[in-house]
Amino acid sequence: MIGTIVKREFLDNLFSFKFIACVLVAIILTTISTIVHVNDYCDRLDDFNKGMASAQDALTQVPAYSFLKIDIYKRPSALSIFIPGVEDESGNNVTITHREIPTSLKGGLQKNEFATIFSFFDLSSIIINIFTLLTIFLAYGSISGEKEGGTLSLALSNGVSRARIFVGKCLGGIISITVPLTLCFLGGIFIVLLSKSIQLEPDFLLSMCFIYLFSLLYLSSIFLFGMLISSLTKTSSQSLIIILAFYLVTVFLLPTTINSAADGIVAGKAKNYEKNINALIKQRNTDLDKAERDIAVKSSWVFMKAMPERVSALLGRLNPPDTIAHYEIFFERSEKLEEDYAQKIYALRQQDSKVRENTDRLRNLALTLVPPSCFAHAAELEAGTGSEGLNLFFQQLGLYWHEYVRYLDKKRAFSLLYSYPYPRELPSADGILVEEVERVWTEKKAPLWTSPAFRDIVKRNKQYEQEIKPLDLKDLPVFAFQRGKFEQRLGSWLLNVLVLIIDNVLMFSLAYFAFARYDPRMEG
Amino acid sequence: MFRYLLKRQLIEDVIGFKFLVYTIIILTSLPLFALIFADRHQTRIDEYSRNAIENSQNVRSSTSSLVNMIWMSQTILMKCQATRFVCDGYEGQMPHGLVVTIWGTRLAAERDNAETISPSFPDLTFMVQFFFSFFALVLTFDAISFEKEKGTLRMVLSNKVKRTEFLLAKYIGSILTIGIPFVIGLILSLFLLLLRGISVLSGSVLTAMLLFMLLSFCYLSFFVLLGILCSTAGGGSKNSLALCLLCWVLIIVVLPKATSPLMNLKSFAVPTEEAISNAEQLAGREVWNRHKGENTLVGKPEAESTKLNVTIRSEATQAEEAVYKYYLGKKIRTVKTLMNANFISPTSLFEYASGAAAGTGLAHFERFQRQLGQYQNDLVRFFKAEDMKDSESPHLFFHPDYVSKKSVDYNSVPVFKEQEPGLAERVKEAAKYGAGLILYNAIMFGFAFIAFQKYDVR
Repeated sequence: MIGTIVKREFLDNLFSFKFIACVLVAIILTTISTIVHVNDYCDRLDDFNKGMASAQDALTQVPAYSFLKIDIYKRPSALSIFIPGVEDESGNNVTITHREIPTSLKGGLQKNEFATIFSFFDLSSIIINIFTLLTIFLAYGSISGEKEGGTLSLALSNGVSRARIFVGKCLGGIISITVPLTLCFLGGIFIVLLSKSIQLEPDFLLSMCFIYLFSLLYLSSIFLFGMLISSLTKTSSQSLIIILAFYLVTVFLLPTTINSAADGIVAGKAKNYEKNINALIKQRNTDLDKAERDIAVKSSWVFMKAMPERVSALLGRLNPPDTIAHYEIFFERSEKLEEDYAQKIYALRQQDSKVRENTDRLRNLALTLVPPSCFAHAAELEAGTGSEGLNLFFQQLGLYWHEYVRYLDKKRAFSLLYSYPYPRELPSADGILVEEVERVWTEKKAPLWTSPAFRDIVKRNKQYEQEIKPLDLKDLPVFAFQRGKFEQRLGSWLLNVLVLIIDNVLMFSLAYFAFARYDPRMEG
Repeated sequence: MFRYLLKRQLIEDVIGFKFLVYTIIILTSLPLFALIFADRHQTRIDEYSRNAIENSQNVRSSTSSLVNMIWMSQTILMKCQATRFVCDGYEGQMPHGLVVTIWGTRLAAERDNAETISPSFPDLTFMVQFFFSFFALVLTFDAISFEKEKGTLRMVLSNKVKRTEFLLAKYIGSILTIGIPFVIGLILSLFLLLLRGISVLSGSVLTAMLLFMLLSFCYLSFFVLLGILCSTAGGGSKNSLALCLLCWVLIIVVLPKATSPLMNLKSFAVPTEEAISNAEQLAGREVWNRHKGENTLVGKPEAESTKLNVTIRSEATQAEEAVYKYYLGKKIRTVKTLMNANFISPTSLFEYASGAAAGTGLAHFERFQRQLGQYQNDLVRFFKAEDMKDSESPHLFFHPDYVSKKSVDYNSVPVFKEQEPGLAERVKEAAKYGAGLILYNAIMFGFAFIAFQKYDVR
């Protein structure tokens, strides 16, 4: 008997105008969105590959440690085709030096700061917007419609138990939703598999299966909620008004309100960095100046101080010995200081991120009670494209930074090697030249640049520059981002899925209860 | 007769179940929005005033010597307007300020707690875009078909009632029904904002509100007409509803995003920050290369070579600034082009129009940039005037070694003050998009009218 009811429900739905229209819209949109996102993904992958190549190339041409910076690119995730999360908004690379622990991505395809207005819909927004609507269409009249039509009393007067009718209706409805949902997922995956240039993660299909499962759980909870309202109301139009109000509130109103309230809290509280950064930077600069002042060996050539840029300064080969000695001590102190301050600045940011994390925990807890957001968040967690995925990236990056700094320590990078890639001893001819220039400098009779010896030095320095051999960086630690392991991902979305399951069970029992209480004799 | 029809329609709508449900939602969420906004606004004002103080300290410390003003850079934030409650215009996700120096203006560094998570801010525009449009459709999807199914349409039209009158009564009745919670909600939220200490009774907020109400009327009337059209031509209440809601999803969710893929077009591509700064350096070097072989050694200020050096240096910096400015302009132009391409979506039109009415969003940034450009000119003029006062200075701009080193009177340094846009400017800008909305209304009205005239009431 259940079989008959399920079949009838299913066929009824299948040939209704609303079902066909919704399914068509959903399939067309999924196709368009997948194609657009696949294109976008390919562009990002291209960007990534080019970036990686140029970063590798740059590492082979580092003359001294002051020039060493590691560009790290974040590989786009194939899952972002379906669940973009924050992936196409945030940039795609960071630069690691011992002077800064990065906390945000730069670059990326989203290079236009003003274009955040233009986002595109994706699979999860199609499920939330269109499949929810489809589910509502199927559910709102399934009981109240039959009440109005009088067919429910007829059905009940036969020897069919209420439980059977109810379960049959539920199954029929859920199967009617499952069919187009499966089509959309399969279509999307098919398009992705057909595109050659996509590099799939090893567990891409597994993740897609989970996301499929989440959407099914979510949609069935919406369907059961619809059944509940449908059993409670007398007419289908009444039930529809309530369910649509529910749709508006959960899909649009609550997420926006909760998110922006949480953003407001973060913006109001996470001010640690903003408040203290200026003082810290001032402190760093005084410390740096002090470090330089404290060095007993004074550099005889003051013009060396006006080096073009502190990071990428390269001392010339020909320098007076005291200048060399001075900078040897200076780099050791200053770069160690810079490294310490990088950690202090990072700590400032960490305090803010703690506030953000705590607020996010509250926000996510609140959002798990809103079924569409609960589903979207679970999908994002599984795909690893949301802000949690980004946090994981930066966590690993922080660890890598320490490893990198240890490497620099091991190589004694903060010594003269930092910016002087030559042997210490000067050839005797050059030594005379240096002495000559030093004499002109100390006599101060004429500007230094007018002396021919100085011009010679500049020329010689240029020649020596040609001879610099790039640093050997073969044993430099390599950063490889590890996506969260399956157990970790499971742990992160378990709560959301549990809530969805509880939603289902609760709605089912409530709806059944409401249906069982229905008294056909009270009709009209 | 028309009056009677209208009255009946209005009463019927207002005592209905739909009206109750949606009014409750609207009257609970609008005050909530107001509270969230008030909170955020306060944070922004604090940020803004702290930044202003920092700037003035910065300027004060630079006034010890005119030379310092060459290096002086002020990060100036965009003013936080109370009209952002009407329409936020994605300001939270856009650049929030500019850095002004004697050479030019550049985008301020991204703020540390950028508001990236929520795609839309709960403002009045959001409410009208999503809620009221939905309400309008739910209210009207069975306006005609229900009367037909119950047989009352036949009876009404068999009296001496013109079809046009009947249609107009439905239309105006629905608009008024939507208007009631709308106006109450607006007043309530304004009142709450006042209570939280936000001065919403200023001219700019009130005129923005008025313009916004006009625009909302245009926007919602489109949906009312759409509902009536679906109700007439949809074939039965059930189908008409499905049709209405699908149209709604397409108009609200899909159409506004339809032009987004255009963003990836080659002609809209903007190079990365790094590439732009490389291009800048190239432009600067280009200027130097033009003078290759000439004597550009800096020495005594009277020497020709010194003058040439300073001129080239200044030209090179200007060339760099010009490159930056070009790409910044290109970014804005791209977004504006796409915004104009979005005229196919009434929702986007409404959003842009109310943003223009409120003076927020991209238009705000452009205005800010324009005003800051003028300020930067003032700064340059001020610098030169101060330098001219010093007879010892060689007046070679802007080389730190060849300008006056005298101190400057802090009070005479120009201070930037952002002007809010005039009413005329806002109306003009809003009318551009509003005209599109009116066009859509006219088309929809035509369709609804024809469909109803042809409608077989049996």
